[in-house]
Amino acid sequence: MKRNSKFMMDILPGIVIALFSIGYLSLIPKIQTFTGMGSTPLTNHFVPALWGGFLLVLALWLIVRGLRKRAAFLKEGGKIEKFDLKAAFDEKREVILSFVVLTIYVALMDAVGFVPMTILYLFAQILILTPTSKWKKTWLPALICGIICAVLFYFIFRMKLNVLLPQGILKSFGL
Amino acid sequence: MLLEGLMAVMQPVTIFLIAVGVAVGIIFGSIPGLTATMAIVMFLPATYSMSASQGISMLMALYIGGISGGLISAILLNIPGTPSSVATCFDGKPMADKGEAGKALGTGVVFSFIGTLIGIAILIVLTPVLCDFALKFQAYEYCALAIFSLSMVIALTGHDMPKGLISAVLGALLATAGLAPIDSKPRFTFGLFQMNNGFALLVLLIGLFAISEVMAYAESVRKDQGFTIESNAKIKGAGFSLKEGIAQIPNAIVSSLIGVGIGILPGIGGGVSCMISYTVSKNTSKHPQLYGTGIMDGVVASESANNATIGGAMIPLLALGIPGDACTAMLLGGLQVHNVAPGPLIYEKNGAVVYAIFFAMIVSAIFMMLFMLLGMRFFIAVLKVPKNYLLPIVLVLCGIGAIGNANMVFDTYVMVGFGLMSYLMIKSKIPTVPMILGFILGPTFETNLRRVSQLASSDPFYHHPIFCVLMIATILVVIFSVRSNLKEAKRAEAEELAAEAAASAAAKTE
Amino acid sequence: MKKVLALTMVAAMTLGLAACGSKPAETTAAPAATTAAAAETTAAAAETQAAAETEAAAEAGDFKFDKTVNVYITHGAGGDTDYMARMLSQALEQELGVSVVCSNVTGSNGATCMQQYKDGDTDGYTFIATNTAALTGNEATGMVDFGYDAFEPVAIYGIQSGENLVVPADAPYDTLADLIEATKANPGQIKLGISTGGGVYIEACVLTNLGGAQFNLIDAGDGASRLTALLGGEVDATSLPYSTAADYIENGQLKSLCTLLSKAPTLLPDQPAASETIPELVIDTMYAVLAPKGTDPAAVKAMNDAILKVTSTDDWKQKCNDYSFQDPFVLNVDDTIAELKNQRDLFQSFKPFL
Repeated sequence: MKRNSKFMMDILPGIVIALFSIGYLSLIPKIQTFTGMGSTPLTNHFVPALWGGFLLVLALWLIVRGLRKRAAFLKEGGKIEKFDLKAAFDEKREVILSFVVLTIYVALMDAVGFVPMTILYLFAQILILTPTSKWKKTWLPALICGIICAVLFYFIFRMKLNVLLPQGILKSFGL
Repeated sequence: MLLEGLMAVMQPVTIFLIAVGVAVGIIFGSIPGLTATMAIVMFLPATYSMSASQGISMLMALYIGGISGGLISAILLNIPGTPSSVATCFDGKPMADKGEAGKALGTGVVFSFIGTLIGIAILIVLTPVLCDFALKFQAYEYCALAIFSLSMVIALTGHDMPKGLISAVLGALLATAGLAPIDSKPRFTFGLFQMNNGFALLVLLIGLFAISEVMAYAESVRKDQGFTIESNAKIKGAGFSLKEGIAQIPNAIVSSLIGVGIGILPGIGGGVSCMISYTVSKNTSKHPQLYGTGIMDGVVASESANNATIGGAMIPLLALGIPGDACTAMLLGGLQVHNVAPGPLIYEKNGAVVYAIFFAMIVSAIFMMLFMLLGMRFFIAVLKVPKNYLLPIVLVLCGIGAIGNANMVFDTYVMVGFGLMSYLMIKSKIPTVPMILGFILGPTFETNLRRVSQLASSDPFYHHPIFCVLMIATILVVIFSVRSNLKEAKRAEAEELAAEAAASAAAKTE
Repeated sequence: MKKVLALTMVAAMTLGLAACGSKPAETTAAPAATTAAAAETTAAAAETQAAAETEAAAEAGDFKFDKTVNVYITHGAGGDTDYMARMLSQALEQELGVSVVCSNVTGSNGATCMQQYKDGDTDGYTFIATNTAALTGNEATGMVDFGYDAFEPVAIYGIQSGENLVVPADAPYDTLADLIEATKANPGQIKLGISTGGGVYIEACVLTNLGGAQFNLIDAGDGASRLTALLGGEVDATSLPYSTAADYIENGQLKSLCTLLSKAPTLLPDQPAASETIPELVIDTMYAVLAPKGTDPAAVKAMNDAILKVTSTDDWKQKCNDYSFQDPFVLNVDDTIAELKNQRDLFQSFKPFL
């Protein structure tokens, strides 16, 4: 039953991390070393190689552990359930949407500007975090909240504390 | 001179500046994404035009307020407000979930105060002795210290050792991006100059805690739960009884000493001190299994240690002119601007300013406790704000913090990347906390290991007693933690099997 | 049409300059300035004739600042580069009558900020405040592939108190020459604390290659950790900013062998300069204001004028004396470019042994 996902919890991350560490290790030879006067006997390759190698070993450990759990599971007569991608997507749609709006938010912030993007982002994110049944009551407060926060934060942080929040389209208005 | 210092602080203007500084510090500290460092950065220029004692008093107030404020969001939102309060989440949040938010906040505030005072006391009394100690820490010793602190990861991870280690190593690995230490050659920057600075700890923390918290909430949207957490709104005094408080004193003293010790050593900082003292407190406690379930001990260990680190960090700053972290580096600048040169002659040349700093720290600590205890009701009221509004706003503030960190929008991209990474890690049951230790200590380890490689030929390791002691201690810690982890793993497995057996038995009877 | 106008104007101006020498007549400047403003819109002309236009600007100078000026500081709050830039901005704010906003964009010894703003807004409201060691040093060590000529230099407005070569007070050598002799007597035994890639590294390379010293070079990090290493005995000699070492020199723990400035600071005159022993060993770190490439030369000139004005006050002198033991040191646009070129040439000449 539940044990099914348990060994997958070892194998999948193990594979991802192993691939990641292989990619990381393969980048190391390309790093420029410094061999001039007073350079250290251990170059700037050593520690990354150490971490990368260590990570690879740990990832393999995880994969092996997962495979052994899987073998034990099958021996006990467990049945492997089929993974339903669509159901998983459906279950996590708020999370996926949140990441999508967050990505759009930061990606366009420089070009469009902090204020408009923050209004849109807050509006979208608040609605995503609200059950659809309550959207009717939420959209207006969400919009107002977005506008107030965006303008207030921009005023405090950009105008008063000199944090370089992107001006974007506000620039043409000299704000 | 002592009187002169006292007089300098006890002026209405200075007191007012301290009060403002503490309040601003608490606000910056309590908002995830904005840190004590940032508060000091933003207000440092304003102190250029003040008198020396006014300026430095305000900076100290910002520092103490900022480090203390971090506990508020750690406890209420499970998002540490500053790197120094990471470990406060471990027990603070479970306490809040149990409806003991008031008690958790009260504990955090009072023991922050006690930790600050212990730090100040040691700063005043033991500075000369401890300076020699700080000077003994060179490449060999730092290298060993980094290894020793990293070995704490094993103790922190609990029964799933490979995953804990993966997290720590991943953290260390992320920290290798950017310009390499010592030779400043770019590594893993993919040709982007924005990557030359490497990843900022702040941005990593936002990804690990703030974004993952939002996602955790997003998962529960359809599970029809209340938007707010109920909490005991009635708080008497500090939220805990005198007896409970007294029982925590030994824990607070040990944690504060650890905090001061780490504070003295430049380059380690509050983020590590809170986690190490949490681990030590857990492993020396009579009831280690209760840590993480929401007990005062965990909050006490973390909060007294991180505040004691302030006093510790001031020791090398004042007596040697050596800043230990970003905060103290800016304090050093703030002092130099007023022609107060920290160093061995500071007592002779600027004794009044030194005493003014001591008094300003004490006054700040008092204001901090006062403001936070008075504000507790208000902080808890924040929990009444529906989370579907609160969390997005917090995330926007985090974005501002990420931009403000180095005034680059690029950091927000990194923030989202880390958020995704942390979400996947949590889904794979890989703990995120060891990653922070790896991230902070990795570069310390690398820098000093490479320096050791330079020194080794002319200066062998057996000339360094501290190095040897730390290495032996590391081996002992590793052996003991592995043993206790294996025990815990066995117990966890046994419990699981029992649970499964019970479940299948129940299924059969049906 | 505009292009033709601009080119004619530039040609006329170059001729005018050639005729008038370094001090052009005011009469020719006035009409030229009005055309200069119009010509600015033609980007092509501005770029191809950048050099000529810088000189054109020297005659123009009727740029009026009427909105917020942004100053990006390449180093963090609390450091000397930040302090000097903020002091300057404060003074400029009063002089120009508009607000001057400072922001720190930090990292990689200033390279992050310079990289980001070298192609920034050219409207004359964006300036970069940095120091010359970062500007020329990063180029020499290969951290960045651009130098001062990727910017429109505006002004050099101050000089640092300088780095000093320091050793423990009980060390047997009193001068730089003694120290070099000592390293020759014991090759590789005397440990010099350096920070690889920085100004101190350049200094170590010059000592070795041009001074013949035979140090054992040990990386000891930034100024504060080099101080720790020296006090803790991990290294035998290192280079420290004067302000960091001052107290220890005064209380007899350390002694300074020489300053690396070409000339000792005005308020600390009794120090030998390293260049007396090794002529090339000069690190004159100066504070500089730059503008993005292609900035309106009139704006550059106007800013330089304002800087020259605000740094001529007694108040400014006092600040410089207090903070860096130096008298005010300010250059006009042409001298700034000349000085930057000098420093760049010197640093580039070290390149073979970096």
